[in-house]
Parts: sequence; C-alpha cells; structure tokens
Amino acid sequence: MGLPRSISSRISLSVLLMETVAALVLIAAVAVNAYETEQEAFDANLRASANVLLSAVQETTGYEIKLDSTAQAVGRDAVYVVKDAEGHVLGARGTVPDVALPVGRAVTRSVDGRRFRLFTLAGDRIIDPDDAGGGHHPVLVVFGQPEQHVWEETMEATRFFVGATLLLQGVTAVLLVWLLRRLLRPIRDLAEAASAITPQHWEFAAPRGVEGIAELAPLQAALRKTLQRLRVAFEQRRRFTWDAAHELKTDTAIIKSSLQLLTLRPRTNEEYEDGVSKALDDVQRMQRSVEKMLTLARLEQGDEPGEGGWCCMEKVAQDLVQRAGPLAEIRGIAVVVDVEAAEVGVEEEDATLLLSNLLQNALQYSPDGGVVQVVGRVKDALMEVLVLDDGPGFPKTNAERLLEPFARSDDSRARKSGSTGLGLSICKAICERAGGTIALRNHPGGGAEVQVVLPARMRRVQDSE
Amino acid sequence: LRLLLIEDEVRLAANIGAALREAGFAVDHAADGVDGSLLAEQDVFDLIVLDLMLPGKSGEQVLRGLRAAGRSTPWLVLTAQHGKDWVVQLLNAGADDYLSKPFDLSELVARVHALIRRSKGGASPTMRVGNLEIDPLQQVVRRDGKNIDLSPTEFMMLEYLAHRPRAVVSKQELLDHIHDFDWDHHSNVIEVHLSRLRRKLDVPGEESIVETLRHRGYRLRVRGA
Repeated sequence: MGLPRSISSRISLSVLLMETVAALVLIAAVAVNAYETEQEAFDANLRASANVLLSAVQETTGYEIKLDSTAQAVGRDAVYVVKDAEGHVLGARGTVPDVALPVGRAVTRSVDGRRFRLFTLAGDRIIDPDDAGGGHHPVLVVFGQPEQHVWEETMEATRFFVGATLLLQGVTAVLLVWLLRRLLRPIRDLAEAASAITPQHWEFAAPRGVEGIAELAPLQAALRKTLQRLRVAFEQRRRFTWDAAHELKTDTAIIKSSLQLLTLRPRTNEEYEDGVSKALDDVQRMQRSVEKMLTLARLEQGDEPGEGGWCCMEKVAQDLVQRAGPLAEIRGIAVVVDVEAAEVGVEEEDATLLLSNLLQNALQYSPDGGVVQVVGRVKDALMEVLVLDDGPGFPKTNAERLLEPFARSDDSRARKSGSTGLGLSICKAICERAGGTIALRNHPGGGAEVQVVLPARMRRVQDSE
Repeated sequence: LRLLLIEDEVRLAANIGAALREAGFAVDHAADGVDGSLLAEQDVFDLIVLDLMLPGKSGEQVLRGLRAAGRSTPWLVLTAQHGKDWVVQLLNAGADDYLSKPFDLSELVARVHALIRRSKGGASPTMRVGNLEIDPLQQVVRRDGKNIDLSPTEFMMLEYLAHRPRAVVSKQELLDHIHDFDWDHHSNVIEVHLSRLRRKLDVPGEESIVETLRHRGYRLRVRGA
C-alpha cells in the first residue's frame, strides 16, 4: 500500500483529495439546504391541497361526499381522508394511517412501506341548515403525498453542483499535472547535469533556469562541494596509482635487467652466484615497496579517524632509540630523547612506524657526529612531538610536497635503493587518521624539524619535572 | 665507442652499464639531469642513453637543452610512460629512439648498435674496410672469412676508425671515444694499442692498414677502394 513515491503524484493526489472533501462538504450543505427548501415548498403544497380538499368537501351536498373530480386535481399518488368529529370517514383515497396526527403541520409517516408526508387540516363543514344534518360540522382533512417527491426535487437541485464539482476536479487534475511537470522540470535538468559528471569530466554547470531557484540552491551547493572533494580524492588516487605503477615498473626493470645481464653471455659459477644474489636483493627491494604501498592503503582506507587505541609515546621513542643505537653509534650521531610520559591516540604499531620513519630520515640526513633530538610535550590534550636533526634541512620551497606519496626531495643525488618516497606519506596518513597533524620545516639553527601533533591524555599526573 | 648513460636508479644503471661494456662500449654514468647535461656537452660520446625521470633536471629538459645547443649525438631514451602522444613529444624533442621500461637488455644493446651505425652513415650491420670485415655486434674482425683475435680496446679503436673512413682522427679524439673516465690511461696508451693492432692486422710486405699522419692523427687506409 502507500502512495506512489513520486512527488508530483503525491501533490496531485493530495490536492484532488482536498478538493473532493471540500466538494463533498459543499454538496452536502447544498443538499441539506435544498431539502429544507423543497420540504417547505412541499408542505405548503400539502396545505394548499388540503385546503382545496376542504373547500371541495364544503361544496358537496349531502353528508356523504364524493371527491373524484377533486382527487384528479391533487395528483395521482396522493392519499387523503376526510373525517367528521366522530371519526366517521366522509371520503378517502388510498390508505391513511388511522392514528392521531398533529393538526396544522406536516409529518412523515409510513404508508404501505412508502414514506408519506401527511398534512392535517381542521375545518368546519357548513351544511345548509335547511338540509338534513345541516349546520356546522367540524371535519379533519388529512392529505398526504409520497416524500419521494421532496427527494427528487432535492436531487434535481443538487445535480448541478455535483456536475460543476466534477468538472472542476477534472480541470484541476489536468492543470496540476501540467503545472507540476513544468515546475519540477529544473529538478530533472539538475539531475541531467549531475549525471553528465564523470571522472573524465568533473565540471558541473547548473543548467539554465536552475540557478535562481531558492529551493534548489542547497542541493546545488552540496553537489558542488561533494564534487570538489571527490575530484581531489580521485586525483590523489589516480596520482597514487600512476606513481605506484611507475615505481613497480622501475623495480621490475631492475630485476629483469639483473637477470638478463646473466644471460647475455656464458658466465662462471661465481658470476652467476653474484648475479642471482643481486637479483634477490632487487626482489627484496620491490617487496619492501609493495609492503609500504599496502601500509599506506591500509592507513588511508581504515576505520573512522580517532577509533584506534592508545599507546605511550615515551616508551615507543625509547624502544626505537635502542634499536637505532648501533647505527647511530657507528656514525657518531647522538640521539637525545625527551618525551613526556603520556598516551597518544595511536595504535602502538602505528606510533612505532611513524616515529621510526622520522628517526630514520633524521639519521640519514644528519652528518656524522651530529645530534638528533626527539622532544615530546603535552598541552591541552595534545602532544607535540618534534624530531630535529642538523642535516641540510628540507628544500626551502614546497617542503610540504614531500608528504605526498612518491615525492623525493629534488636535491637527492639519485634514487637511493630502498627509498620509495612513501615514508613521510605513511607518517602523514597515521597522523591524519588519529586526528592529528604533521608539518615539515627547517629550524632556525639549521637542519630539519618535523612537528607531529597528536591527541593525548596523561597517564599519570607527575609533577616531578 | 663511448656512451653516456644518464640514469638515476643506481641498480638499473649498474646493469645497463655492465651490459653495454660487455658489448664493447666505453660507458660513463651520470646519476642526475644536471651532471648528465654537463657531461653530454663535452661532445665525446657516440651515443647517449637517457632516463626521462631524473632528479634535478628532467630528461626531457636535458634533451631539449643539448639539442638546442646543436649537438647531433644520437639519443636513446628510456621511459616508463607509454602513450602515442608522449612518444611523439619525445621524438619531437630530439630523441632518436626510445625503449619502455621494463625493457630487454639485449634489445637495448641492439638498438644502441643500430643507432650508432645509422649515425655514422652505415646501413649494413657489418663494415668492410678493404678485405677486412668488421662486425660490431659480435665484436669480431674477419679477413677472408677467418677471425682475427683482437682485445676489446683494439677492436674499439678499429671500429671507431672504420666508422670514419678516409677521415683523419686525432689522438685526442680517439682517446675520448674509446675510454670512459674510469680508465687509467698513460700518455702513450694509444700508440701501444695501435702497434698491437697493426701487428695483428697488417699483411707483411704491404703498407700498414692504419696510417699515421704526423701531428694530425690516424687514418684507416682503404685499399682498392
């Protein structure tokens, strides 16, 4: 059940329904009014007929009366009875119920299964005193006609209104359909314009006649905003796919060339062994690239931001520094960790990935004998983590570009094996997923400074510092 | 013959370099566009292999820059991008040939040979000098169907001279085109290799196949031509 899901049908049906109700009320009012009017006229008619009958009675001679000629005049289906004071019937036609009826007004009674309107008139019959039984004789005239006549007249009077109403309904229906189609046309135009949008063609131009419509303005604005967001996201996806394909193609080219080099001419066993182990290294490199891409995909398509767990940043930092210790020691780099004991809203695995990427970059770019610092401070339920090195810093222009997938800083001399340009974008994805931010800049003293801000909560209030 | 390889991916560059060296070329390597441009300007290379995606300066920029400077060295471009428009753009920029990654090393070597042959004006894969037949692909020299055993450097010298019959090639030019920067050379290295080459090729009683023109250089003597 239920109404059709079309707005125009709903509007049409609602309007027609309301119109029908109004029409029915109107028709009912008209019918009641007509009925009352007709009944009054009918009753007046009955009274007049009763009077005619009375005068006819008066005109007859003799006590018994014959009213045949008069009866003709009062209608074929009329009934009457004339009685004297004793209840003696002087003349009658048809059956009139033998009960006391109020005098001087009309009432409705059933006669032989038909409804009759009966009027009772009291009068005097004056018989010539010279005749037998002369003198004044009170008589009662009851005259009735079927009530059906009232109904017929009422119907007749109402029929015009019913016809007019039906006509009005029809005209309204046609007009409504036409009007609605016309009024809803901008919605269809808008839908057409919206359906013309494809990944190849993002332009949304509001069709003519739609711009000025107040009701459609929010829809258009929402459409534009959504499109803009989708377009950006789609472009990023496309770019990522393209870059990933390029990356894998390069890795494939390396592996292929390593193996083909072995087949160019006969080799000694040693050369083969060396070649195969190099090719294996190449495969491993490719595997690392793919793993990073999958990590990034997982981070970017994961659950809602801020849904992850909590972990202690200080512990993560200390663990990582211990792991990086030997490498830093060889190069004489001092790693200083000063992180407040607080929990950040990131899974421990992701926090480790984030910090280890940043630490690796810092160690890689720091000169031998340099200093790498990891500083974490909590303020207003946020933890700011700074990773600083005293290397060459980020390129002065457009450092933020390095957060995009596969970006490499321009001053890198060559594509270093193992660097896919995904590390910082993985960091960015982790921060954004936790509802935090990441920023790259150079600190005034020289060297790179990465600032990460994450939601935090104090694990234990410690005022020892 | 001496080639320049401009490729930022170190492992790929190592493999391509090894394959080209084994095919008998001297190979220099540049790891970015800036170094590549500087090297290419020196005009000592018989062919340049260029990767398009480079840090510093894109391959296309390098190519256009050198072409604008009027260098006619043949260029073989390596690209990871496909698409007709892209190829057209490349060829218009001055590339002579291109290969899409991942490519076959053997195809790369074959294309390098073909491009060099074309740039030196030859059509046949082998060159004839008198009764000598020089085959750069297999790196062999034959006289009357019999192979003559040459060292790679000797072969390279002969090949370079054979590419320019009747022209005088200076000692410096010869040096530039047969050795890469890594080569440890002495001042008389050309003379040493040349005397060995003559010993292997010359027929007793006839004039030497490589003619020495005092203070000017060397010339391949084409007999009966």
